[in-house]
Amino acid sequence: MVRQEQLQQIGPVVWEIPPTARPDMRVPARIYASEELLEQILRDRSLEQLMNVATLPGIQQAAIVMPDVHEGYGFPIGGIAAMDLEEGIISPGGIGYDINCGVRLLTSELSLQEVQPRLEQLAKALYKAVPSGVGRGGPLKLSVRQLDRVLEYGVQWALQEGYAEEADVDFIESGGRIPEADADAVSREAKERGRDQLGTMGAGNHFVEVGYVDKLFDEAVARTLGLRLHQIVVLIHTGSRGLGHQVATDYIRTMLAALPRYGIRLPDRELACAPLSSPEGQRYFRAMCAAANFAWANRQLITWEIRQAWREVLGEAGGKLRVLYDVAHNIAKIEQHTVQGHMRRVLVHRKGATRAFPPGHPETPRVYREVGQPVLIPGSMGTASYVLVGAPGSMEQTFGSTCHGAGRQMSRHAAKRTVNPDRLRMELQQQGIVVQAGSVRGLVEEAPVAYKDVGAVVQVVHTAGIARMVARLRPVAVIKG
Amino acid sequence: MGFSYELRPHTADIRISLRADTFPELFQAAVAALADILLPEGCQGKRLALHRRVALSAPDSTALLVDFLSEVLWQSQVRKALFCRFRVHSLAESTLQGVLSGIRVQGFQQDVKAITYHEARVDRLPSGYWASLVVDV
Repeated sequence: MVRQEQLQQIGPVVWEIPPTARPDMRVPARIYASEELLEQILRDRSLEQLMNVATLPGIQQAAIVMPDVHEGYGFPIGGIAAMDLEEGIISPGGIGYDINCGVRLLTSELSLQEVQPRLEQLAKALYKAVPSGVGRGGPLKLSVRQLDRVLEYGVQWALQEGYAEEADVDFIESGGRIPEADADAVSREAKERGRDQLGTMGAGNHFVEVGYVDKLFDEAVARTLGLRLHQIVVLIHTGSRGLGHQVATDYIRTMLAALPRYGIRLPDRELACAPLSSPEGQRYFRAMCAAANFAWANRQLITWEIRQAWREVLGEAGGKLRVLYDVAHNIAKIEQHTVQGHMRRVLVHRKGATRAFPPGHPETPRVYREVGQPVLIPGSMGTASYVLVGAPGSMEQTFGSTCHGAGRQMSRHAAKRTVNPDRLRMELQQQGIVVQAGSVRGLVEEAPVAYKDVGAVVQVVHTAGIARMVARLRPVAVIKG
Repeated sequence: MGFSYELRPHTADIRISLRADTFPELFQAAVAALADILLPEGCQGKRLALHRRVALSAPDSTALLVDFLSEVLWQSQVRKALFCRFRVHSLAESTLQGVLSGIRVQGFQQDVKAITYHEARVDRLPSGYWASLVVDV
């Protein structure tokens, strides 16, 4: 285990393990955390895993983790690693099995007071409308040709098929489609696993949550994003489902077999990788982009399902649900960044990390460009979630990235031992939160006690100047598998 | 002759520890452990009417175990089935053939994303075999 004495504090909330700590490290390992969160981080093996990432060929500047980091498999969860396009690698483990797991926030025209009387009914309708749980299929069973179009066109496909509104597309990271996607790079096995899963939430930590804006940290920015106090919002958290899981499984196997060909030695097999410029690296990149497009289409289908349920319960008076933004937090993207004083294109792996482009960035939707790209940070079930915007420090320090959530601190086993399901339901009820969940087990595993304090996490990235806090959201209905 | 398994905590995932008297039984232990994660007690007292052939090769015994269980997971999710037993027809250090037996199910309790290579190990002991795998959930 890494000990605190091995870390050097290089900023109020930034710590570093120098590359001299291990002979195979190419760059420093950098940690964003308060002292309190650092103490929690040091309890698992996140930082050993971060040091492993710092050994990978072509890594630039530093291997970085956010305050919500926790131990993963290979790479820690909550990390960022930017790679040189020529000499660097691409690693499926640096993105995660749930490719483009991400968050979408919908804003409504209604206030908490207006929705409160119909809340139970709305939660039930949402649970019915958005298929959840494990093994439950979605509203569509796509043919291979249709699925290939989803993989290559993402939200554009959804728009053509009537599942999206024109305005939605502008408020999704990358417009909900990465053009490098290639359906032929996705295996038959992955396609079979994902064929009936479009428009489904899944289980685990995925959810649909109805909440309201309970605090504004920056009223002017909130106004630009279309947020106001007591406004009802809907948060969606899910990803590419079984299709993405299988793409990662397939390519980790391919890359493990290719490691000797490229002379790559790894401290953990799960770091399996290939040079980005190699045939294996290029093919995985195209498959990963396809799975990312599938995930964006999935969150779009769920948006469509939510809009149906919304209309069914609230009628015309319910008004419209607008997409505020949609961010990926498990992805690798080719982006322009300043590296050692020079503007260069690099491949940024984000595994449990969110893009956080600052004001003025051309990839941020025009209406938000003056304030920065929205960053959506879901909290644990029953606690707050946060809306932030990217700040200039993100480009200077973290390859335009920030944290992605509260970060798990307790294993699922431990949560099951610790949490009494009846008491949890009662506590959520006492807080005025309606719960629609498919399984008691899923509810208990995601209890707030299993996670870090999301407020403390976002405070770190705010203090570091990589993202600015704009608004806090409180849940009133949680829908889970 | 026999096997056992244990599901142990891991921050975000589940660690499986397997013990078996013989190498083929290690694979049976893996199938039983995965079934227990996907749908606890789902196999108990059931007539196993669904059968699927499995044939695999991998660079070494650890990769063979990981790839085998990934195949079982894929079959489970695509066929909407819980596999409870694996009958080995042939097995060497890096190749495997056999038949999975199980039942159709409506769904699972746990969403297993993948069987990872993270800290995956297969060890030969004086008294049999031991293996450890981390499952991403």
